[in-house]
Amino acid sequence: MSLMSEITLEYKSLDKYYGNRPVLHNLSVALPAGKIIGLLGPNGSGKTTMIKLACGLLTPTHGEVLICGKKPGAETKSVVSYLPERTYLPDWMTVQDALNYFVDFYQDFDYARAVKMLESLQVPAKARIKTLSKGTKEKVQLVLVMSRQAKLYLLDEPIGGVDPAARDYILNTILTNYNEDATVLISTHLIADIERTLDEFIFLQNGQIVSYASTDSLREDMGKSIDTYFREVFRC
Amino acid sequence: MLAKLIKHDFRALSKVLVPTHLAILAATIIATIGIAVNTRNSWSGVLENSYTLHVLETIMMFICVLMLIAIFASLILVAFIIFQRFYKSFMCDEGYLSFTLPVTTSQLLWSKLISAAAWIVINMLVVALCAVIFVLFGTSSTQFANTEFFRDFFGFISQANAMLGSKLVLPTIEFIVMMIVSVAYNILEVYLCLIIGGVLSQKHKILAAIGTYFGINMVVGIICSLAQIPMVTRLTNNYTYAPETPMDGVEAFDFVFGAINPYFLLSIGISIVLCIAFFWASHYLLKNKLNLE
Amino acid sequence: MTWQFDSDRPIYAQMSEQIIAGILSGYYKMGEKLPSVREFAVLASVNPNTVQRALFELENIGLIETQRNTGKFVTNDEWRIDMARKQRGESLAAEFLKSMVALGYTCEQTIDLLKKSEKGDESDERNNA
Repeated sequence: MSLMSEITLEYKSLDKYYGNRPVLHNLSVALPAGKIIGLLGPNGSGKTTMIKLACGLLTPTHGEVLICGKKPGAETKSVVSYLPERTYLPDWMTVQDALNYFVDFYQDFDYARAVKMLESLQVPAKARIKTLSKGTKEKVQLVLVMSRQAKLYLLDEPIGGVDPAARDYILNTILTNYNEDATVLISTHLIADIERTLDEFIFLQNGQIVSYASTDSLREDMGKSIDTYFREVFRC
Repeated sequence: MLAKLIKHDFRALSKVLVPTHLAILAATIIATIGIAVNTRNSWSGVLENSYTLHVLETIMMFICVLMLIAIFASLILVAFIIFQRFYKSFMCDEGYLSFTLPVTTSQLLWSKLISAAAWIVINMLVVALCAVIFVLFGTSSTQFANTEFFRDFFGFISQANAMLGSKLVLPTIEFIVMMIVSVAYNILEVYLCLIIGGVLSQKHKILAAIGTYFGINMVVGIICSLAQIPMVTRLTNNYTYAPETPMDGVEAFDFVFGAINPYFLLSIGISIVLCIAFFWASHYLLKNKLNLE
Repeated sequence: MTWQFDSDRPIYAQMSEQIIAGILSGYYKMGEKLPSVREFAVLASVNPNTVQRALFELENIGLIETQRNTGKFVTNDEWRIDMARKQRGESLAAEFLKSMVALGYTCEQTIDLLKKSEKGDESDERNNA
């Protein structure tokens, strides 16, 4: 039970500016271990920025972000598994090269599991990344990211722009493989598709958190799904 | 982790650079054979009377010479490939992979610097090998291999060694240091420019990088000239008139080396300082200012 | 088994109801091993913690039992299953009757209607309505 109260990811009165443009403003939130959490909000609300800060791709303008109590750096990156909303594997690599790359750099990478998943996807290890379709590339990346036994999974728009079958595959892969003591933060604007898998959700609007609650309590207290609630909060 | 980074960077470069260097060697061999055949033909006078063959011969000679020039210019190609790799893995989508690895920013930079420097050294060695092949087999009209040149070359070196001996150690070391520093300097300068280009502009990263390159070169040029002013004044004051008594070899060496050495050391010093500055600036920008779109 | 969830009630509650339905219909047989939490999560595309909570409720009412290291099993206790069936039947009947009354039927008319529909006399039913 002590694990449940542990904080995996914490933002402390964090501001982020791009030049003079504020993207996140006075953001404070602490996410516990062992939960799947939805990061929900309209386009441009700062979801990707929040995630990039946690994986060390950006630095805060003010305030700080902590992963298991530490600022982003080599140490935190070894426990954070990040899926960006784009394909990032170099063209020249083969699938096998990519596997070797992850084995070399991430100690928590489960090679056998990744190979098994790639087999079930029917992606040959010898295939060049360049020759794969966009959808397959995304699935290969998901396999690599979810084959790690990380403490924090940051998944940026994993189901954006895919067909329903692929969406089911992606959600199943996440549910089957994530480490139970870990926190999974999934950003998306497709709430209806994902809300059943969420323990908790964060609503982000104009760089500020407007709501952070548990899915069950929303349904118990207000009798509403996240999707319905989202439509109310963000009504134009 | 640094070793792993270097391994992967080196492999990534090798994917393109190994075939490139094999092509360079092949081109050298072809050009050498072509020129060797040509020289032999002209000397033996077989073709004197055939106009067409003569034109053909000229064209072939021309192509072979172009090929040789291209081989010696391959450093430019290698540099381009190295910087393209850096740009792709740090400034493009691949950056999402590079910057989320469990390594420090300085490890990333060191790895890129070391793998690039290693490939530049390999390129120099390959080009040197090409030069040897060409001189050995492409320049003699009478023999199969032209060993005369090398005999002269090594003769000169042993003569110099016999005359100057230990005096050659310092300049040799300085020269090697200078080579290493200038390779590092040139790599780090372009790296920094590419990073600044990425920080300044999302859409025209390369254009911004090229602008920065000219900017930095101008500033460095001015700094260097300023630093050299006292040096040049000293040089002109002390060495305007050569000593009246004729010098022997050792004296001449001392005279020239004494004149050049301070200048040499100064430029090594400036380069090292700039290398550190470039590295530090790259590190700071990558860590704090970069935002991959 | 297909999983359907309404959007106005907690998913764990709906999930435990549906697992109960599975047990009562014999989809999950007495004494049979149930899927693991992960497997349930993937089958129903829900959060593993939600499954955990649903199973916890079922365990509380004694419909399933945990055997150490081997997983969760449907109970062998017939009495408990009958109890669950009775409870479920009563609440469905009450709900149904409420809806029928809202449509303007009396209790007796409803019973008649049920008897008719059991005979499969659908055309008659339509005429009456």
